[in-house]
Amino acid sequence: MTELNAVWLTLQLASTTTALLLLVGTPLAWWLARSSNPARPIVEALTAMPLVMPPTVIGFYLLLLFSPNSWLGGFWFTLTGSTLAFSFSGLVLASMLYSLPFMVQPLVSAFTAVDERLREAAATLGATPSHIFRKLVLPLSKRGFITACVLSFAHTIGEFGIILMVGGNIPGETRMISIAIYEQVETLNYAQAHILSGGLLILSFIALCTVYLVNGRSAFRLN
Amino acid sequence: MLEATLQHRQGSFQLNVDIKLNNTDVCALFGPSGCGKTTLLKALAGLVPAQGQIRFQDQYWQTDAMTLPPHKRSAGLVFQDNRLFPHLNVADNLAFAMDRAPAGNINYAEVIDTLGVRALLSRAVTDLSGGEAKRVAIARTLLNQPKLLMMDEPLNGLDQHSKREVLGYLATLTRQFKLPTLYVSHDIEEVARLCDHMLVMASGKVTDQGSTVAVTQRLNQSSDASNGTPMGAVIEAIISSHEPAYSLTKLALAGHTLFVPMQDQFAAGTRLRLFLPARDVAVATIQPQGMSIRNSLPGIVESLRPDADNRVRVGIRVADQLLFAQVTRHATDALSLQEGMAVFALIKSVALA
Repeated sequence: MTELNAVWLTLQLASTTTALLLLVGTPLAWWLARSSNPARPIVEALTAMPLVMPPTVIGFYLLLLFSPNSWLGGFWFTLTGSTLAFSFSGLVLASMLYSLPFMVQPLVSAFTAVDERLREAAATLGATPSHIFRKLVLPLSKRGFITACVLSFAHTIGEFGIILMVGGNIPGETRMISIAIYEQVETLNYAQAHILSGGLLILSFIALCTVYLVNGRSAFRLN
Repeated sequence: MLEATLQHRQGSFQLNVDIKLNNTDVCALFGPSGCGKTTLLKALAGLVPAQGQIRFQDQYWQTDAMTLPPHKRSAGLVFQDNRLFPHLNVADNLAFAMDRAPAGNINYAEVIDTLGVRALLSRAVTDLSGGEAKRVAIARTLLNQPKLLMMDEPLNGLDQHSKREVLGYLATLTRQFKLPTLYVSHDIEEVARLCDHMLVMASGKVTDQGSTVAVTQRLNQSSDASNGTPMGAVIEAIISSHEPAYSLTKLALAGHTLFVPMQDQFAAGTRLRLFLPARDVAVATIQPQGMSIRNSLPGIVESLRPDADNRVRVGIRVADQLLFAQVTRHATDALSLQEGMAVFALIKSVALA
């Protein structure tokens, strides 16, 4: 199959994005779940922006930001000697932004659901705040983490607009499944388009099934 | 020794207390719901940001300049709602406490046997009954090696059977581990059974404190006894002998004899605290004869106070102890009860410590 490269690249992008989002999203979600800072609703709104913005708009602004003339693009260029726009690294950054709400929102709900009374009990038993997070909050939020990762992964695999704007169509660098499908359809190569589209369809279905299975099980199993 | 001066405002509620607790005291925090008992415990544990000063033994937990976080205070708190960790089974809940415990002399085997937790170790905490969960919660707190034990209404919400069961465990526990204990309760029978001392609270303030016997006497003599104040006396008596043939234990009380249900878990010579509910004490002006009630004590009427519904609370002095009987005003008039009169207190039932 000629598009195997695109499939492999997409999986790489989705896993890198999910892993990095996990690192960034966990502290952000913890802060959103706990903070009484007056700026919290603003941060919350910013986090949710990618849900309502057209991907082309995000892509447009990111493209400007990634240009070597901007502070970010310039910084990246001096650091690595390559540009962010039309590169795999740029796509990872763009995907992180685009999938951020899919990581953060399930985590916020999971963290909020951890009973504050249990944290108080742990504190009176000598647990430091970091113990409480690791031994109590993390295990009690397990389902939230699974949901967040599966959704971020699936959402990154399916993105199109931003990739087209920021990444273009460079085989082995930025040519993802969604771009490949678009091109195959453009060139009336429906057989290839069918294989890729069908694959994405099944993958998305499996991902969502996982999420609902994980969360549905809570009704029967409390731990 | 615990010394605390604390103020805390929560909406219109204001906590303002100054308390002192000796090292071996089992002390009740007694008062109606909403009087600030739980808030005080939480402030002592560091869970409520109160103003003021707390000193425990040689360590300041809080001064105007600093506040020690909860995990650095050697206080153990048994919450009213247990707060067992749902993702851990019983053994792992206990391990959570032990892993973070400082060195101490509370022994694991002793705790789980005293509280009957051994058989529950592999159970999920969501499968425990109310009484079992409470025992696990108490064991978890003890295994964290606290130097001060605080319990927030541990018998609240338990059915009658579990209540008796847990009360029995608590009575053993306070004797065995000898920790300074603050015991929140609004049930005078519990307090009489477990606590040597009492702090009475009302709307955020400590209104009275002292030995359980003395404080209950004062509570009964204050006139506003209708709202939640205990009706009855806490008295102390010494076991003189057991009478297994009758399943009774004979107590000596100021030179008189009192029979109570068998208490053979205690040796002769043990001092027991009893609660005599006022509604279960009757008054006679002559020595009664031919009667099934076995306990009648001669005394002198010391006070007569009107209660609701045309009832009268009669304080009867029996040597150095004060009993209370609740009788109708009709009976008071018929017997012409007056202060200074010699009477007999007939005791129908006794709640035992």
